[in-house]
Amino acid sequence: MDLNRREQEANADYARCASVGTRIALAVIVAELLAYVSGALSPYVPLEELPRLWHMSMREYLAAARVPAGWGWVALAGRGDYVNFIGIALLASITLVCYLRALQGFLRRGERLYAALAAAQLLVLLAAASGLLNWAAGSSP
Amino acid sequence: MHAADTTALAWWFWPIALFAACFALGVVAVIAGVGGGVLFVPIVGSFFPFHLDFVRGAGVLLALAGAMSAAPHLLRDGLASLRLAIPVSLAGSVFSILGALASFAVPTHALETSLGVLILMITGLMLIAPSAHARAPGSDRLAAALGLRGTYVDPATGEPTSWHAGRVVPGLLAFSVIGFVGGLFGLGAGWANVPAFNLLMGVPLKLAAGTSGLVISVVNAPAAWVYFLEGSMLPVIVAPSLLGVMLGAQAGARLFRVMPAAHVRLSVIALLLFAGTRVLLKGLGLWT
Repeated sequence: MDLNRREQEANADYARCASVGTRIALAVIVAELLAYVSGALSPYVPLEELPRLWHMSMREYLAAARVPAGWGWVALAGRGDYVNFIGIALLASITLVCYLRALQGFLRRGERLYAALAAAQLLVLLAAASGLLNWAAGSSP
Repeated sequence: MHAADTTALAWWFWPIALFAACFALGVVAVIAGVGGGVLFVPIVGSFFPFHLDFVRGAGVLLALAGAMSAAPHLLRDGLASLRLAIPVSLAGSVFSILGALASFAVPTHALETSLGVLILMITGLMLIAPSAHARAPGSDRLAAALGLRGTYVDPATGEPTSWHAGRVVPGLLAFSVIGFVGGLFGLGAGWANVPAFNLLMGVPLKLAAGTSGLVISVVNAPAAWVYFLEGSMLPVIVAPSLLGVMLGAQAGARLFRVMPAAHVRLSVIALLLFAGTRVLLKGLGLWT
């Protein structure tokens, strides 16, 4: 397979994945936002309280609103504000999924150098998503 | 605006204003080949009542969202190259994480001051317009091993253009620095990606701008995780910003195919000049 053909195949695969992932994430974010602002799900931090809080630094806000950092938000995912974090996590995960697809494609086409680069990128993304880097830097619990 | 003034308005005023501003930023960002974050952070950080920590958190995520929305269109049209994006994105990703982690140790006024200086530098950089006919460097061994060459068809002209990239090692170093700065300030980095591809690596301007969007969608993902898990994403800021930029970027990607980037460039430069001055003076305590 010539270089242009391989490139087109890899581009098309990645584009499909990014397109589907972004549409799903956008739909989830819209639904979550509606549930949040309509009051269908009661927020952990009341909406009326936010103008008093959003000018604070992140650390002041976390302390004043008594909200968790790291993966602690999962325990609050049923609340109107924290349900939005599902869509955010989904959006931040799309690149990871697309790189998994790209890795499969590179392996199938025997492009070992690009397979190694894609695998290394996946490791970087997984390390960031795990929260271990925040923890190692001494920030989030 | 002072915090006391903003609490007088109903809570929903600012999210609606944010959505409208972000839609406009999304359109402009894609056409001008810059990440939405580079416009969002100084503008929203200056003119909205939110703390810079939350603005940077939203900035990194919406630069990611805008780039993710545009990337499929650009890849399908052949205006972005995954092969070109992968090596430089890996270098940029590692350093974007370091930048994001470092940002939480820097005082806010120092971040604002340095952000203001950076935005003014970006404005200056944008005045040195990248060349549509960049001189291609000699292909080095690494570029040959990575297969950094190909052909794309510019939809505006319909003409096929052959390209090859070179100077891969300096390119990787440049994208490392760009990744760090992007992670530090929560910016997309199209302002630096495009010149790095175009002027340093010899990639044609249209392909450089398209691939820059793809690079942002990869480099900002790990930085977004760092900001997210640190706790600097506030749903009431993030959600309207994301929706505005994603919808704006999709409209922008369609216009990108036929609209010469130069037409949008001057208005972006003027906007950045104003926002950069504002955030610099805010950091220095001269315009709070």
